[in-house]
Amino acid sequence: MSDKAPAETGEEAALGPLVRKVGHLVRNKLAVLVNSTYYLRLRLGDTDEKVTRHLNLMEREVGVASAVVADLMDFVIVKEPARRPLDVNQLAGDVLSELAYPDAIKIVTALKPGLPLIEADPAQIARALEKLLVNAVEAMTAGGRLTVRTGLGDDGQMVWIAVSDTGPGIPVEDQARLFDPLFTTKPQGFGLGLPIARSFVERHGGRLEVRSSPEKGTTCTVTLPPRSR
Amino acid sequence: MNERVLVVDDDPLVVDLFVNVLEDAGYRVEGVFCGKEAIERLTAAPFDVLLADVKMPDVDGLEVLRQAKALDPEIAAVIITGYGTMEMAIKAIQLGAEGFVLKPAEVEDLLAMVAHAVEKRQLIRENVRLKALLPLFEVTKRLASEVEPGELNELALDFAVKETKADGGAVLLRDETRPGCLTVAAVHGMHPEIARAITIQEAEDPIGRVLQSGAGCLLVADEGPLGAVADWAGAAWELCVPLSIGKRVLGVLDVWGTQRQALTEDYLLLLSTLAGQLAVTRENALLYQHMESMVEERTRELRRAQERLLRSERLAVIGQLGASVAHELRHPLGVMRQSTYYLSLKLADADEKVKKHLRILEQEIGASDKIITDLMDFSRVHKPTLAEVDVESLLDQTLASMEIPAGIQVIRTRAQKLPHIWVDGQQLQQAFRNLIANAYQAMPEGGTLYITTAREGKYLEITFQDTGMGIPPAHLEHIFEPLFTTKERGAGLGLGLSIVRRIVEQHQGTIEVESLVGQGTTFTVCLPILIPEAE
Amino acid sequence: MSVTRRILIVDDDDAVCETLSDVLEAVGYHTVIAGDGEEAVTCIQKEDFGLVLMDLRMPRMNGVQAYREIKKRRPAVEAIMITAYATGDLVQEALRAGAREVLSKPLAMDRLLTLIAAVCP
Repeated sequence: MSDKAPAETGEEAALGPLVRKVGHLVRNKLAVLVNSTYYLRLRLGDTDEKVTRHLNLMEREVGVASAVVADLMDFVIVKEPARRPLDVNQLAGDVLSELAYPDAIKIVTALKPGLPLIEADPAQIARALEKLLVNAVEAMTAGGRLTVRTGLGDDGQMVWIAVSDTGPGIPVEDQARLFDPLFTTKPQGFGLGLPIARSFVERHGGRLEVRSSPEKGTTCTVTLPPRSR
Repeated sequence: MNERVLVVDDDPLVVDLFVNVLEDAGYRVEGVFCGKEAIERLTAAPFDVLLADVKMPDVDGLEVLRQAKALDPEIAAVIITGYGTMEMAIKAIQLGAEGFVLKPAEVEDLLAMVAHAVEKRQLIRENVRLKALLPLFEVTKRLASEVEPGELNELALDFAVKETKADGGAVLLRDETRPGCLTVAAVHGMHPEIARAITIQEAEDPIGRVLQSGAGCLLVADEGPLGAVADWAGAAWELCVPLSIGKRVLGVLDVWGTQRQALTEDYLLLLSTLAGQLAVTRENALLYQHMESMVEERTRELRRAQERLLRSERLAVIGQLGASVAHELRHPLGVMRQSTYYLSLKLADADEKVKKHLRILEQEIGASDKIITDLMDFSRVHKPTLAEVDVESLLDQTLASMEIPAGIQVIRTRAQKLPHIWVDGQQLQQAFRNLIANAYQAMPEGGTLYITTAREGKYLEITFQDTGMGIPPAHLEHIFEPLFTTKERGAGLGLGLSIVRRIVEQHQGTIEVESLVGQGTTFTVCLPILIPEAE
Repeated sequence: MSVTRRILIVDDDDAVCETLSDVLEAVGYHTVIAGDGEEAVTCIQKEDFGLVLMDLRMPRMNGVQAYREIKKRRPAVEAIMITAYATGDLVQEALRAGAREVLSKPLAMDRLLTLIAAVCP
């Protein structure tokens, strides 16, 4: 006759470790697959077109699987941010440069100089930004403009980063479910991007807001608190 | 009609006439010729109507009237008077006579007067009854708000003794532990210890007949034995009514007195009503107490059920996520498997190292697949879709679908005519598979797996007993926890048994384990033989 | 073979060690495999290595602790940490302990080989 909150008992408590374990095991398996594929590539070189093609496929699919596992881990396992003074402009620049974009998409940046440093985990904020950028790119299947802006909030304290696309926007009826982990409009894959981004941002005491319309496209704004003195 | 009339007049002719007239009219009449005798008669037996001549030599009508009213205030009295005694007549009225008849009396006048007197008395009686009922209502209200059975008895007894002007009373209840005996639940007018020391045998005690007949009675000491308790109290009379609910007689409500008084059926009625109230409220009080504990238990159960539901809902959402992820991973793994297959074909003549790596690819993809499957199974224990299943044949199927490792023998003990049960066949097969695989893994050097089925009351019991390495006591309590595994690293997620428990519990069953290191382990699964609810 | 071309591979997953070893040997390095931190320290005591490729998260002794022990005995040994999963703090600790890089599994092989070439010429 326990009045313990359900989360404390049995299976739910096992979920975090379960995901961790799955992540760890699968990543090890994937690592082995990568290694062996690489070895075969080394040994077989470009001897046969078909062999090369399949080896490429293997590499690509391992990448896909890795991404899925990474998303799952990020979503379920809440890591405490390892905070460090961070320049959002520099971070935004770094993240932008590491992604690849189709030619049909134009990248525009408007990063306000002289913004105060924030106290955040670079890897986590970078990942959040990455998710927003990927979403924006995927929304503009027919090309468009991707804009990244930074600035200071109205209170003169909070720092914001906005990622905008010129895609078709999100239908009103879907907007309520944007952060629902099982909700996705993509034909394949699952939509953990926004929930993950929000999770990372909120862990830092920040906010993630989404505004969308068919005429203007979608803008996701991340707001983060400055370093506390 | 049928009232008892006492006529008293010193003129025998008058008495004679009145007696005849009244008897013809249907009354039961007695006639006496002097006041003293009248008083004697009144003391000995109850009368409804007194017809008395005011002017009599020894004891006059007024005195008779006074005494009569003292014995029974409700007696209807009609005074017979001559013209010369008007003042006396008025006095008589003041004393409570209903009316008077003038001598010489016309028959019609007499009958009318008597009838009037009777009617008036009826009204008064009803009034009295109603008035008596008022406190009864009060008591009933108090009884109804009282929840303690002990308090109820006291309340009712208090009222009963007061209203009947008794000297004492008791609530006697049938003793469930000693059939045929009654116990004193409450007593007034006697020391409780003494009362409780008196043994009351239903068969021997005069009040036994109340319990037998279910009807109340009046016992008078002169006319017969009193009940044991009243007798002990030295009572002259005893009023006893049954305490019953429907046909069940629980005991009696008993009052007694030492003073002889005119006890009418009204008291009996009053007591019966009270007894009825007491019995009902007592039952209610007991029911209430029972209900309170039932409500408490129900609330707890509800809360637990809610928690379970909440947990299972939450798990369902997370499970969906898990299933979703697993599904996502299946696709790349599938592509990899195909590519590996192609490469193994194409590179069949390559050197050892290349072949080794191709093998490694296959193995790791397989291992990943197993992890994904485990994750999906764990996530996928959804609400069972019930169907009628023959457990024996399900076990047969499961065993057939699994390769029996070398050196292992499987011995089945089938129950006779095991009933089919309503379960989710797919889930149950999963559970069986996990249990059997577990047993196989426990016996890497061979051994025996005994699978037994039996019916235990409302449950079906299936045991899986192996002769393997056993599980140390320290691990035993964790064995159904997800991720708990004592196997070598790389052998999977350790979800097998937790999935089994999930499935079994989803079917409202239970699973238990016993084990001895070095000897073997026994898993016992109990599943209820459910009857599905009508659609 | 010069010391710098000797690589010690440390991971509790045998398949990871084996396949990585095959790749590195195919490229011309000499590799030795260890299953955990303690075994790694024992190997270092017996022979010298230019680089240790180590999983950060291992039972009993994690990668950072192992590397510290190794450096006590042979301070010149370089380290590249690989990991399926690690907290930011552990990564920081590894870098503070002197590791050259922390790479996540599954590895981007080209990058790994480039890095190894830079660390172990």
